[in-house]
Amino acid sequence: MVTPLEAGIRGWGVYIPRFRLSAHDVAILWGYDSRLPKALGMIEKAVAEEDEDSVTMGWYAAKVAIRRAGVSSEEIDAVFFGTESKPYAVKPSATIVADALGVKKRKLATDLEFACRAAGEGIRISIGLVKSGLAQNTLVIGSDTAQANPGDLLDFTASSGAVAYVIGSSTSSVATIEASVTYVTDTPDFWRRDRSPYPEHAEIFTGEPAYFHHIVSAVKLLLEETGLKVTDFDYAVFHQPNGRFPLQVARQLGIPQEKVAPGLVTPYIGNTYNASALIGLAKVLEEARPGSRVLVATFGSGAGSDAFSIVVNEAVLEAVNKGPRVTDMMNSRIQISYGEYSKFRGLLLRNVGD
Amino acid sequence: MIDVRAHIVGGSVVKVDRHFELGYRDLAYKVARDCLECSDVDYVIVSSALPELSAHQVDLGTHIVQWIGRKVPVARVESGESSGLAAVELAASLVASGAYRRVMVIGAEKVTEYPTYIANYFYSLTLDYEYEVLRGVSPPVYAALAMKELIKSGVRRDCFSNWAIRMHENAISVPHAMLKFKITYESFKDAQVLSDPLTLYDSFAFGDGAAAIVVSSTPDRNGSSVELVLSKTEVGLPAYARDSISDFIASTKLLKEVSERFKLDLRKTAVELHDSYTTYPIAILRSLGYVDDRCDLTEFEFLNTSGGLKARGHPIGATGIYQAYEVFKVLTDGLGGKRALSEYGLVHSMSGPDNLSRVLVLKR
Amino acid sequence: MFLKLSVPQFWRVKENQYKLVITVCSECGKKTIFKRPVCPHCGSGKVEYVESSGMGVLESFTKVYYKTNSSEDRLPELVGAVRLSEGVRLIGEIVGVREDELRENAKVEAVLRRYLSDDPYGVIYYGIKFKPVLTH
Repeated sequence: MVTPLEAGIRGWGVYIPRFRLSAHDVAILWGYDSRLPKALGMIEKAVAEEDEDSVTMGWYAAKVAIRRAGVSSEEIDAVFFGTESKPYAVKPSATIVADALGVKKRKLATDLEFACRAAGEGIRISIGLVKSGLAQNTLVIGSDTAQANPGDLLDFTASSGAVAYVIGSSTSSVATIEASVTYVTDTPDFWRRDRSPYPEHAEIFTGEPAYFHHIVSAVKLLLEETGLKVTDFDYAVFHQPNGRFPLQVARQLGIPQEKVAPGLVTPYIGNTYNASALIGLAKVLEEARPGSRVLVATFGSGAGSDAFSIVVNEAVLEAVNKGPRVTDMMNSRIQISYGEYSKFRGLLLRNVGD
Repeated sequence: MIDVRAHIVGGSVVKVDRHFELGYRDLAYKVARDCLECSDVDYVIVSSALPELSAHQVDLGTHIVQWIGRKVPVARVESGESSGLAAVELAASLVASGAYRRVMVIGAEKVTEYPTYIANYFYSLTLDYEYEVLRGVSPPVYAALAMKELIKSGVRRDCFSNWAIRMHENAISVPHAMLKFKITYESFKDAQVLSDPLTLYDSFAFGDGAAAIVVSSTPDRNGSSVELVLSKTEVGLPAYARDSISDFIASTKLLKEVSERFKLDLRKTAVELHDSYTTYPIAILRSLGYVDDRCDLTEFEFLNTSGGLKARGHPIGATGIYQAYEVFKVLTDGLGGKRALSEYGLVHSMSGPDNLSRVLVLKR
Repeated sequence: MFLKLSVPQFWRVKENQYKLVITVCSECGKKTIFKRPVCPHCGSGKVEYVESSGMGVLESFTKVYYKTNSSEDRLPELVGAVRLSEGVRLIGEIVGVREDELRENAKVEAVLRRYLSDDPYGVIYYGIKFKPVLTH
């Protein structure tokens, strides 16, 4: 589906908690080979405090995105909250953020779930709303306090973070979404049952049949439908469950590592799930020269991938300094122990409630 | 404000303590029974702040009069920490109006029905629930931030410790005081921090208690009574809305007015100041010009003879009645071996950090 | 939480929790935090409301060990007096920082955080706390 120049990114915002748990500490505590973090491409991950959750992080990212977009919250017609760590299984997070930001009552609002790509779907839906004139601007949030069974491999990567985009008309945007496509199948590589506090996964099955197949398929469809080639892109940002997969999928697609590196943040902040690829995109927007073309591919287990072709406009330069940058947040770190991590994320068994 | 003709003619108190064996009604019964003058009253006022929370009891007044067997009209008065003086003011107005002859005012409070952190929670509810409590602002926070302000303006940390030391000294000879041991400047070094720089030793003793006084339209024929000459209240600003948190405008204004009107020198007067935290009486005495940055209290002869909220204790809704009883005693038989020769006595009570301030003036 | 949290009570005061609304008195000119019908300084009902930008300066702070909740997992808390850029002062919790890093006069910004929750099944209260502004 080739979209004419009609929808674009008007603003972006990111929130990364300051606290960091080193992958080394995870390995030592749980008896992994100390060389495993390197094999996963992991240094440390971001950890949200006790009083943070997807809603609070998403709120911050959204506030910055709105500021960068230069719109008022009155001009937002839809709020999509993509997450797999909802504070309420039933009760939307989107409405809490919308209310706290003063978004008007006449709007669409919903939480989306599709593992790590729900926010990506939110952007895809937004393109349709903007193109059809049903929405002037939408707010898409990807936010997670990702859960991991303590001691599982995911404990090295599951982290907390949020990203938000204001999607609107491409004529007033900092970056145009010139094309997008979504590829979805039913592939149970990773899931979390209703009452389970932690997800389960099928280990190596999460690789080739899931992550790689869906991203490659989506990107290939995008290239077919637009006539673009991988060499037309200056940057490639992928969903990043660890520090290795994005580099491997880039190799499969024939994309050089240098184009992936700028958007690869997981080694330093962990896998923020719904914010994963999209924080990478935000970082690229903050560095890229106007005219750059960025390939973005999300991935959500279950499984699916969105591929986007995004062209950066002049307007991005002015917007960058209107909010904290990804690099600044990545560099603002407080190291914590596994004990503090357990306390922050409620991993310790306690009697709760008075 | 009441310019009244009312008199305190007697009363009794229970030791402030952890009375696991006594509930609200038991405390009320004990104190009413031990008070000889209480046998002949035609109205009961119950002053209590926490029964609904502590004891799941609404309408405590009715349940007390039924329990103690005084089938007279009753009302429960509540105004947080200053409930006691609110109750005394209403009792005085009842007798001054001629509607009633003798009112028994019973202050009673239970704070040990639940673990300390819950008692702390109840106490925190004296602040604005929606805009202070929910937002993590608890009473020690104000006392700490105010202490910091005063220290920044030159008051020494020892000044506040000095208050607590003096209170403990006073309480040793007061039978009903909760904490009857000496403390020193050394004690503060290892003291548990509540909210820095405020420590446990800067905070009131928290215990159950009950106190009763009888307010009568006529003085006691035997002369052991004091006249209630003035009861005045000033509403302050929420602490967060003031220019300085340590600016206790309401309390200072009241105490200044009352001192001027009755020509009082607080160093010679029998006075009970509301010292929930050591920060507060120092802030007040400083703004009244009684103490400088060194806070020398040696010139005060009858300052918180009871040991104050710090050492006698602070059973929230009952505290004001204790204070009124204590000044009554200091002016008549004596308290803890001390008798004041001054003509007047003064009770000061606050709701929170000067959210509201009350003053009661007694005359021998 | 000793008693269950009320749903309507919080919903009713949400505006003052999710945002920082300032009451400006047209009569005496003074500003006070939180939307209220009457100026607490002069008692006038001629008031207007302004939403704060959320930016401010930390005037002073204290480290709180006072426990009022058994499931309290955030002790000690850092609580401070913040002077908003609009001139109004309020007290709030300071988050996202270690005590040894925090300084008086630090620039802070208002952030939405969890206040309380009736775990594990009850409602969650959200509200404004303060975080030092990222220096870059």
